Amino acid sequence: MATNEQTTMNGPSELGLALAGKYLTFRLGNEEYGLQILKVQEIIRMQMVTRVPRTPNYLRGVINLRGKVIPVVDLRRKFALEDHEDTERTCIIVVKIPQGSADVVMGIIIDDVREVLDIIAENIEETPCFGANVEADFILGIGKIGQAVKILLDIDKVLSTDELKTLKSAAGV
Amino acid sequence: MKSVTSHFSQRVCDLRECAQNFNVFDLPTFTNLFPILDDLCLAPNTPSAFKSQCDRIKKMIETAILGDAPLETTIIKLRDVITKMVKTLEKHPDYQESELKSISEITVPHQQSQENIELDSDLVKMFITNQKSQLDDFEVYVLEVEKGNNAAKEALRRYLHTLKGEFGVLDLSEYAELVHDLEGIFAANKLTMDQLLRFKDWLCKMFPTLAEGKPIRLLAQDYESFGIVKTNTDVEQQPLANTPSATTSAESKSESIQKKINLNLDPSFFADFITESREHIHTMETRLLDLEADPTAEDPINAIFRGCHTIKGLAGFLDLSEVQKVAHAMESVMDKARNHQFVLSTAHTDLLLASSDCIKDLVNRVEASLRGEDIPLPANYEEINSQLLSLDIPDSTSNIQAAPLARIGEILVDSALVPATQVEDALDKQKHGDARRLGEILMVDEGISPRILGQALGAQVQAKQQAQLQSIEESVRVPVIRLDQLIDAIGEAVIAQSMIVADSVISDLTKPATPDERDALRRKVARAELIMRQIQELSMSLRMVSVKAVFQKMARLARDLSKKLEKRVDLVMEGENTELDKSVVENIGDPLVHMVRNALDHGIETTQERRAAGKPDVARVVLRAFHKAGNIFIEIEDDGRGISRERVIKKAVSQGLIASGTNISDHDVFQLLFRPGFSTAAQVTDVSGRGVGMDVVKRNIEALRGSIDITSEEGHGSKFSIRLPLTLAIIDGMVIRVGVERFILPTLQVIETLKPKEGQIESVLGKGEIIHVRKDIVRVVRLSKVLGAKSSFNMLMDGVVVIVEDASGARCGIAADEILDQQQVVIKNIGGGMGEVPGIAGGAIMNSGEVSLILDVSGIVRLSKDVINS
Repeated sequence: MATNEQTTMNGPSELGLALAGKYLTFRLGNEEYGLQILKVQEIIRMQMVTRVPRTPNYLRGVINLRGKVIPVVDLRRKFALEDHEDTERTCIIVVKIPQGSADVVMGIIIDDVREVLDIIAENIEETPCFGANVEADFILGIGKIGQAVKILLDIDKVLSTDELKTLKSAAGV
Repeated sequence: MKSVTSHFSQRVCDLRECAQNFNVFDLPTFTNLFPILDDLCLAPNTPSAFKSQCDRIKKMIETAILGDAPLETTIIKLRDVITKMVKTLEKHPDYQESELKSISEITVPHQQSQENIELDSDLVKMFITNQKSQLDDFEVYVLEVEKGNNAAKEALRRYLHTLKGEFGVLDLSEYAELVHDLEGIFAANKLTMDQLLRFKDWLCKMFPTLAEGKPIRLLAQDYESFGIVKTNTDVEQQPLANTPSATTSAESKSESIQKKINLNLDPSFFADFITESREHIHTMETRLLDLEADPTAEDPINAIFRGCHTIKGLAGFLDLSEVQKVAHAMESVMDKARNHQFVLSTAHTDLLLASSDCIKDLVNRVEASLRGEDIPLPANYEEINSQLLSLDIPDSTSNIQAAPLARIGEILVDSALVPATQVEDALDKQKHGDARRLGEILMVDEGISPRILGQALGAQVQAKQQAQLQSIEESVRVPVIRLDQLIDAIGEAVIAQSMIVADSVISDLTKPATPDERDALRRKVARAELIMRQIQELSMSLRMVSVKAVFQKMARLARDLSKKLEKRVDLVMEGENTELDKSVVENIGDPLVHMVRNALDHGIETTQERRAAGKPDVARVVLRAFHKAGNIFIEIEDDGRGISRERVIKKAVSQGLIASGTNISDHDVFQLLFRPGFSTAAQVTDVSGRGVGMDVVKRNIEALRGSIDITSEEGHGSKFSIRLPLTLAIIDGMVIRVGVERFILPTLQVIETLKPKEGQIESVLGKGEIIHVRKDIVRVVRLSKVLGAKSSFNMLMDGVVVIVEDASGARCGIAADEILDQQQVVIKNIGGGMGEVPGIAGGAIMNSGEVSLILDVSGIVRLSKDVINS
């Protein structure tokens, strides 16, 4: 688009209408992502993570969240981005996602938290097919803010345990 | 005809007026109804259905007047019934048999009005929660009365009376009537205990559906099983499918069958058709009732299928498309059931009964139309058709257990019905865009039998229903004393805390403290700690429930089983007042049921065998519960035939579990019984013998962090001993360090710790290591290998070895760098997002706020074996 206008030619798509809303944006490597705000419970500083043996690489371990032990996923490793030392800006976003019948609280480690943005329907587009680092399954859509593009994540899928189960059975447990 | 009709309508108008005049305080307004109803009944050509309606109304009024049902609600119902009757008649002033018949169909078979009443769900839930505990008492009373206890009789009578009242309050007048009848028969001493127990079972079954707001209706056979003879014909009418009042639809669908009858055909064909179909319908009805009792029985399914098929054919021949349509729909349903594409449940049999009614109705109409009358279709015709056609959700009564809301793939893999690889393939396909349901993919592509899928789906539905059920069970009964103690303790905690805050040392931390002051502070802190521990114990005790309820269930089970198996058994309970955490008590029920069944089926011999062996005729099974060493023990001991070591070994060898000739201890032999699929029973009875029970039992118990042990002496009896931890949330742990990581070992499982000396450790086959501990040889497990922890030492001798023992008595030595501390830790479940992690029992929050992992000794041992083998 040549202009700085925030609207597209065609008006809001169905996908856009479904996905419009507030998103918590954060940075991971060189990319910026967005999470649906309703799933976010809190944001906490990086703390000591206790490693849990025999779990997938991207599961960094568990932390103590006010008396509750919750697992923490390293999103970089999950998306197979190159590994990085934690900086002082690294933090954990605590999300609450449905799993089975109940809601499960988990944390994700990200590089840098940005802001909460309200993304309108017109600015949300379908995920283009790129066989890139990120599996298309995990992406709800692409949000455009000005010139920048935010990848809107489907956090339920990202943190689902399906893969974990198949991994477990592969491990012969 | 005309005069009858107008007289008839006149009386109906009177009826209407009367209904409007009902007055709670003026009883004659009710009794005025009686002559009107009598008149209506006496009118010639009144169909019996209408008569029974009148009877019903009269009965309702009588019950209300006698005070056995609340007047207000009776009025509402009466008005309802009468209004409907009147409405229909007003639209068709010409008396027609079919119209009146449709009145009785449309208006209130009592069950239907119940479906329309909105049960106040809060009231219902409260009622059910109360009833659940009372039902157990009810059963106890019945068993006591059977033993001859007269005080229990009085208690029973009171219970029935209260129950009746409660049903009345909830507006479930049919149930209230049922209890009323039961009361009567009981008072006349004509009610057997078996009938009462069946009633209790029916109540148990009924409560969940009641909670959902869908009270189940009573069939004639239900009444029979409770010993009540119901002459009221409208009870025995098979009820229609769930059609909300179809008064309007009856009129709108006035396609007459007569138009469709091909008058070129010989009328005698129709006569044959009518006779034959009636025969088939009769057979179907009987078989449907069989099916209701056992939804999986093949014979009835086939018979019903054949019936529908024939009727469909006959109807087709005669061009009776309505009949054909319904018969065809019903036939497809039965076909699917026949091919095991799904399994029928009672909900389905309801629908099928309704369909067969519909067909019966249609046949009647054909007959009537032959006489020249113009008849509309049955009111619920379309409804039934669409319901039959949309029936594709399987329901099952299989044995598969599904975790609440497990997904189909998981259920299939977990129950070992389908190999995991196939499920994964199917999942893969789904992921890559295949839009079909998992079940379909598995069936079509992987060739999994529909029956298995049906079972799994059924289990899923059941599990979902269970999950919904759980939502009612949220409360616990707590003795008030405990609550008071807890409140007192909390009060003291507040005081202790303010004492610490007020302490001179704390209030000015910059000033150096004198030894006396420091002592005083230490004492205050110690006191606070003491009070905290008290609060902890008290609050956990709130969840304690006595095992009595569970044992009572066993008593009932034993009684029923002993009757069924024709063995004389005396179930003795010891220590039933022992208390356990509520969740443990809930989960211990199923394993105990398995074990009691096993004991009675396999353990206890028949009376002849016992006599031949010189044992007393009546076998003794003891259920015992007691506390010991921080654990709760529950034992089932019988004086039956015991477990034959040889048979077990033989079976194990034949199943390839152990090599023949291996030397194994008694303990291990009996542990073999816990293997899935293992059973030495020569025959599989429906009580036990499939080899499914014991491994499930073991898993359930291990899920509670307990263990189960068997001791037995052939010829004398066996004892099954379950050990459960007393406190679920806090354990004493030993903190060990491996590298920079800390792990916790439950102290109860630690036997000893030692610093290995020169020569104490040897390597075996270059792969494993063992350590000599006095005379024993114990395998050494390096946590670094098993858990990937980086140890600071390579030489075992530089660190420590902790000898641990797991629930089955297996020992191993865990090699760690250092033992740090021994402390009480709070166990937390490792976050759900990860599922089960082998070797890790949970997480513990340390003083530093960090999380440490609690090791599961059995898991570690297992892992170490894998590591060695790999």
